[in-house]
Amino acid sequence: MASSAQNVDPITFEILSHRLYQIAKEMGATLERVGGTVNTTQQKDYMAALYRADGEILSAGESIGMHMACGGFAVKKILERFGPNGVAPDDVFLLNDPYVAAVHQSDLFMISPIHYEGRLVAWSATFVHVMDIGALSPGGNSPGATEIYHEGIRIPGIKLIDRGALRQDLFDTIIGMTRQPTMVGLDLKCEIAANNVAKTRMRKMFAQYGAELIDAVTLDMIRHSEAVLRKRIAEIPDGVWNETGVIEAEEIWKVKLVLTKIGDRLVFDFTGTDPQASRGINLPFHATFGVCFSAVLQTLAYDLPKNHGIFRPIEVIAPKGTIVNPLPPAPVSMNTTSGAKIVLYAASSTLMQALATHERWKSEVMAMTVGRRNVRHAGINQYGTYYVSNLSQTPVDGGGARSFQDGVDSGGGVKSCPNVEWIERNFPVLYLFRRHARDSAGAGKYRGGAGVETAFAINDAPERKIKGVAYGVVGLKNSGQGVFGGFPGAPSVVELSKSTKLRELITHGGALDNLQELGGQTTSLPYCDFEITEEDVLYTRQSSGGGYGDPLERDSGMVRKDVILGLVSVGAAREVYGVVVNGDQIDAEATERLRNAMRAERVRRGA
Amino acid sequence: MTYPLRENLELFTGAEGASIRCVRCRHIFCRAGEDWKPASRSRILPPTAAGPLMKEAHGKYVLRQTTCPSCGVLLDTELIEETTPAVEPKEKPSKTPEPGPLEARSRATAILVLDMSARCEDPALTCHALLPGLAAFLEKARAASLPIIFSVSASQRGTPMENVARPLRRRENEPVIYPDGFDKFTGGALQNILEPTGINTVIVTGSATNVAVLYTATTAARIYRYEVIVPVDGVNARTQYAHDYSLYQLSVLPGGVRKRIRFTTLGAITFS
Repeated sequence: MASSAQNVDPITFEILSHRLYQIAKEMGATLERVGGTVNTTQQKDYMAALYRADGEILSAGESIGMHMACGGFAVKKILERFGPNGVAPDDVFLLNDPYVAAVHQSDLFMISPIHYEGRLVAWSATFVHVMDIGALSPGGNSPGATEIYHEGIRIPGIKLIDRGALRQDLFDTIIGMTRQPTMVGLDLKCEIAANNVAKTRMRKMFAQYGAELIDAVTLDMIRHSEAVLRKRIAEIPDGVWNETGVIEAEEIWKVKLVLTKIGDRLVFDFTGTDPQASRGINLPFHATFGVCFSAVLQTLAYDLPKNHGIFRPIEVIAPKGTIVNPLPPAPVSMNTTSGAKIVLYAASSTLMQALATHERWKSEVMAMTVGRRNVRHAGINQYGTYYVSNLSQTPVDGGGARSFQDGVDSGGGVKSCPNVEWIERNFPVLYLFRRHARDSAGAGKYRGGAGVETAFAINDAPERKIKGVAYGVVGLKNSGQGVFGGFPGAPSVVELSKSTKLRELITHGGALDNLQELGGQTTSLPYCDFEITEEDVLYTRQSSGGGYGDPLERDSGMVRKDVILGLVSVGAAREVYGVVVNGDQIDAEATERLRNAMRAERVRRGA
Repeated sequence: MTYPLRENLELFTGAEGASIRCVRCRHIFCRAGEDWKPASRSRILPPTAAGPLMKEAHGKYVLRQTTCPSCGVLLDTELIEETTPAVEPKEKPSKTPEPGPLEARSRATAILVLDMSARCEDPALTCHALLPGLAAFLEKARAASLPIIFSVSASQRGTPMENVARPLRRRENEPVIYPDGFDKFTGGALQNILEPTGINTVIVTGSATNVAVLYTATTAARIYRYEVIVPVDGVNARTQYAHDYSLYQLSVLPGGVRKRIRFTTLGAITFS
C-alpha cells in the first residue's frame, strides 16, 4: 500500500483529511442526538474518533484528549484479545476496564472495526460517561470504595454485536447491573449508532477514493502533525521545569512532575509522586499518558489535526504503584475529576513555564486550574421515578487568565452546562441562586475568569430527601493558580447547611442573596456520601481562574468595570489592585498614591 | 542579547557574561543558571491578601510573594503551606530603612544624579538598570522646575564616556561636574552651584549606593546640613547586599545626621 507523502496531491490531501475530521464530528453529533443522559446529550462528556487499522489515532472530532488517547489503547487491546481472526465485519466491542484501557468504569468504550472489501482498514471508537455503573455510590464516583471491586461492572473487552447481531442477553445483563437500565441502555445504543455512522461514511469514502489513497492520506496526516509539533518543540530552549499538585482529604496526596524538554521531545517524569491511594483518585498509566497528550494538544498542537502524530514526541515516566500508575485493586472511580485534574494541572503548568521561555510562544501562556469540587445527586424524583444525575456544574469554572486577556468567566470547563430550568424540571431540586462568585477570580494584570457559585435545595421530592455524593479535588488549593505574580482563584468548595430557615424564606417569598441569612449549621464536605433533606441547603463554588502578572499593573478602568459588574468588590479593588473606586468612578490621584505606596511596601524588606 | 524567562524576567548576555535580570528596571538578580529567587525580595502575606474568599485557607496556607528588589514588580505569587520555609537570601544584609512618601519643595530642592555617565548605556552595567526609572523621574522634576546637577567621574573626562547617559536627556542648563572623589562635594564645584540658590534639600540618585551615594549623601547632611532624600529605587549597587548595607549605614549616622536623611521611592516623591 502506498504511504508516501509525495503521492498525494495537496488538494486531495486537504479534502480527505477534512472529510475524516467531519466524520468524527458527525459521530459526536450522533451521540448527542441519540443519547439518554445529560452528560451525553448536553454536556459533551463523550469521545468520538477514528483509528487506523493498527490502533493509531487517525482523526478525532471535538473530543476530550485523554479519552482520545485511551481509545487508541482500547483498540489495540481488543486486537490483542481477539486476534486478527476474531474481529469480523460489523462486530462491535465493549470495554470499560480501567486496568486495560478505560479511565474509570463509568466511561464505556464502544469499538467498531471498519472493513472494506473484506479487509480491516480502520476502527471507530466512542465513549460516553453513563450515569450509573452499579458501583457503591449512585453515579459511579464512589467515595467509600477502597478497591476497584466496589466500583461497578468491569469489562476487559467483549463482543456486544456479533457480525451485526446485537447480543441482547449480554446487553440486558449489563444494563441490569446498573441503577438506571433504561438510560444506560440509551447511552449504549447511541454509541452503537455513532459507530454505525462512522462505518457507513468510511466505507463510502473508501469506495469513492480507494483504500490505497486513503491509507496514504492518513499516514501523511499523522506525519504532518508529528513534524509540525516536533518543530515547535525544538524551537523552545532545552530545559527542566517542575510542578506539584495536591489533594487534601483525610490524607494529603501529591503528584510531582518534572518536565524535561530535549531537542524535539518532551519527557514527563512523575517520579516522586505519592503511592497509590485507597480512595478512587488513582489514574491508570494509559490515562496519565492520555492527560499529558491532552496537555500537549491544548498548548502546542491545538491547531493541528488531532492524530497519532501528537503522541510520538511524548514520553511519560510514571513509577508503578503510585497515584499516576496504580496497580489493581486500587480504586479509580473518582479519578477523572481528581487524579486526572492534578496530572493535567502539573503537565500544563510545566508546559506553560517552558512556553514562557520562547519569544513566539510566550504569548500562549495562561494560568492553569488545579480542579474543582463536584456533586452527584440521586433519589426519587417528582415523577416518582428513581434517578441519578450530577449538578452539571463542571463547565462553569472560571478560565485561567492569559498573557493578553482575562480568563473567561464561567467558561473554563471543556463541556457544556444545562440551564437551571431544565434541571429543575427533571429533578426534585430548586436553585436558590446560580451566579458568578464575587471576588473569586485570581487577581493579576489580567485576572482569571470568575467561577460560579450555586445554592440549591430539594423541591417536590416524594421521599423528602435525596442522596448526594461529593467528589472532585478536595482541598483549598484546588482552584486556578496564578502565573508570574498572578494570584490564585478562590478555593472550590462544597458545603451543606443543615436545619436552615429555608422553608420560612420560601413561605414569605423572599429572594436569597446571602446564605448567612438562612442560619443553620454549615459543614464542608470532603469525599463522602450524604443526604439532603427539606431544611438543608447545598452550596457549591466552582473553581475560578488564576491571574496573570502583577495586579498593580492591571488597567484601573478594567478594575472599575469589574466592580460595576459585581465581579470585584470595592474593598478588593482597593486592597488587591490598589484601585480606589468611589461610586462608579475611579479616584485617579488616590489610586496612584495607593499603588505607589503598595510598590514601596514591596521594595521594603519583606516581613 | 536577551531571551525571555517569564513575565518580567529575562536572560541577558552582556560584557559581564550571562545573567538573569528584571525586564522592567534591568536589575540583575544572578548569573544565568543560578536560582533567581534567593536574589529577589520575598514576603509572606495572609491568604486573604488575594481576596476575601481566600478566608478558608487561613491557618493552613499563606501567600508568598516574590518581587524585584529594585522596582518592586511582582514576579511570583504562590499559595504555600504555612509551614513551608521561606526562601533564605544568600547573604543577610543589615536591617534597611523603610521608604515612605515625601513631598519636596520645588524652590528649595535640587536633584543630584551621580555617576550616570554614558557608560551606563551599556546594558551589562549595573547602573543601566536605573535609566528607565530615573529618566521618568527627571522629566517629572523638570516639569516642576527643579534644578538637576549631574556628576561624572573625573577619570572619564576627555573620553567618550564624559557625557551624561543619553536616556536621561540632560538639558543645556543642567550642569555637569567632574569631581575627583567618591564624595561629589570634593573640589567644591557642587557646593558652589548649590550655595547661591537657597537650596536646603537634595535628592541623591545614581550609582553606586555604596560609593558615590553613600559618601555624597553623608557630606551633604553632615558637613553642609542639607536635608537629604534618598529614593531607594533611584540608586543601586552591584549586589543587593551592598545596596542594603549602604542604606542602613545612612540610617544610623550619629550626631543627628541620620535625622536629616529620609528614604523614599521615586514614585512616592511629590513636588509642591
